[in-house]
Amino acid sequence: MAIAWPWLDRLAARAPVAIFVAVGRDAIERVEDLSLDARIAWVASPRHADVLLVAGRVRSEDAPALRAVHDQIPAPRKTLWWGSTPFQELVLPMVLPLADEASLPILSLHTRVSNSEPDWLPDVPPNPWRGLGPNGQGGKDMMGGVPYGRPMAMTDDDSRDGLQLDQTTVQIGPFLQTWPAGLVLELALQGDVVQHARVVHSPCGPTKGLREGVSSRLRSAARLLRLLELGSLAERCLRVAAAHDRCQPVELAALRAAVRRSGAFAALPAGLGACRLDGAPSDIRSRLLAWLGNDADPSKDATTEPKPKLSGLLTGLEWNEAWLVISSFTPQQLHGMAVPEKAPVKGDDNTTNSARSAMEHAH
Amino acid sequence: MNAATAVGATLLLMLGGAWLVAVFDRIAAALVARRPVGSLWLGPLQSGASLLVSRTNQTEHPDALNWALAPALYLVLAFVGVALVPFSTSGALVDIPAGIVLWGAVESLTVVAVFLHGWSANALFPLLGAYRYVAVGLPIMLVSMFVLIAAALPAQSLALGAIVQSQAGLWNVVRQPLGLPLFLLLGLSLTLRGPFNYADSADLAGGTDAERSGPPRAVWQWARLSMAVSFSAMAATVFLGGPLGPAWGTAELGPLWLTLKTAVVLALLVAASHLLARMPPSRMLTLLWTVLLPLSFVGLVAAGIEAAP
Repeated sequence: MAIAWPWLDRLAARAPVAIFVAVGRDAIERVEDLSLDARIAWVASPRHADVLLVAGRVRSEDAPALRAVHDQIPAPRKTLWWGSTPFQELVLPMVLPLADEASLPILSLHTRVSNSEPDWLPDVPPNPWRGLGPNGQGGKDMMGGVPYGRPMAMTDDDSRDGLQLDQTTVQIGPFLQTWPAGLVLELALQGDVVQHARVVHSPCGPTKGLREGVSSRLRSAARLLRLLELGSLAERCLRVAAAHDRCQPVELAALRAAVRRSGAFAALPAGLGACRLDGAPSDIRSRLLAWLGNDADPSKDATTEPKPKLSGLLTGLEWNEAWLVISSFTPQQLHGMAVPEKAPVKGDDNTTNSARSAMEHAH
Repeated sequence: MNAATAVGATLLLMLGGAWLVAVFDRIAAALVARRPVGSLWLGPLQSGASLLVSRTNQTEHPDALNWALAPALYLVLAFVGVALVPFSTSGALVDIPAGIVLWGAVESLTVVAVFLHGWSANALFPLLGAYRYVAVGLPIMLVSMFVLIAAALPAQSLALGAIVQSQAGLWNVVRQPLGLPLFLLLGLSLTLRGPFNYADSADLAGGTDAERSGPPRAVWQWARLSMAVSFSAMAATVFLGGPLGPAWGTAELGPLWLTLKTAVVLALLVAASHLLARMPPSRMLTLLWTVLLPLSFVGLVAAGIEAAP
């Protein structure tokens, strides 16, 4: 259902174009700069988007997720491949090098009258279930299998107090706004508490310089601030970072004061995400403070200390805290911390099935 | 004024009010981000139109009834809130002897509307948003109940008209300094904003709204903005003297005073939602149960002592 009145269409055509971005390798900074354009709105869910922007090279293991994300964009949907390689079966895909500006092509793509792109995946349940099991409901006995295409949530001990609660296993990533590009986590959740975390795919590692300049640290701060519902302040960080990239003088003290006034440091629990990083103890507050600082690159490239394991840092946290912890590391820091881990061997196929089905939901 | 005119006027007010909130939002976002405002007056209409012309979607096996009804319920609750507000000293659209109790019901049913919105999508992120909202919504509602009872004590009545009259000498914002700040926190929660946006937040890709597109999403967003209007009008009534104006004004200017005061509360609400960071849910729960709830109780006791004959 949609409303079709010509005057409404004309009004709607002047709204910013909502884009959902599947961020691949080395593209996040380009996407962040693009998001500062007032004619573009970078939205958090594919359901809210008009255009899918595939920015940077997407790995083959992320292709199924990309297809699922595409199919969640409401018709009439369009796709722009920005520095990425389109799927082979697509007819006349719109491709643009990452070095080119994307805003005008997005606007022209959006206004072009054409048929909506068809689905890239067949519209079938994530798990085959019809006809399986004694009653054809897809289940084995009371609990096993995938009744009606969904695995049963099984009870397990809560890691904090041992209470038996329903637990569901989901895969999150690789395409979420402000999420490290390419990172896929498998989480066993009770409510929104992470009981167990496993890295399925590591983030697309940075191939450009490993030094972290003022600009890239401000961008990291912006991603963290967005999770604190400080979207406007995050945008200010991105604007300062973009100005710094253009070699304009920037004043960090005022920005730091604004972040302090917002209560961001008080809102973050002390000791959250505490670990030894680059030879010194740090937590989420100290990392945010360092990003907003004037100091030269605080990370010491020569350190030989092993990096902490990301999955270990997430266990026992609420989902919001878990994402905050993930965002409290720069892409460079995260590189060695999130290494793919093997799935635990289980008696039945519940884990993988539930993970796959959750993928459909959590893009 | 007959009933149909009154209902029409209230609907217009909600449309105009929602537009004003969106304009305030744009100004605040531009000020905080240090950039030009852009399309200020037409921008909210353009964004609303783009939601209306986009296609409605379906999720896999949603709870179809609640999926369809939750945005409408939220909007109706906002409407009920506005209808309760006395726009002049002579009365409100719905003038009942226990108006403030009905407003309390609006608050608690909002929790139901938001929960159903997240629940019915049958998807992970909306469901997490729904659960989180209920967890935080309960204690903040208790805070609001204490605050509202305290405001009703000087009036010795639960009628909003009587609460307005009780402020003829001194507004409740001065008489009970804890009231309005605590009530504003409830407003942030009712409208899913900034430091109390636990339902439709960035860390859930839009939360209960994450799986929505098309006209139902436009209704949901309109309801959020309308609830901001409804809440602000209620806050202006209970704490800022509602339609009471300065001594030199006439009673006919009541609606104008109320509108101005509502706009001031709206501006505060919008500013807070752009300027203040949101805590992780568990930290907020600790703050609510151990600090803010006792604080609101202290305010209630103080108001009781003051109002005692």
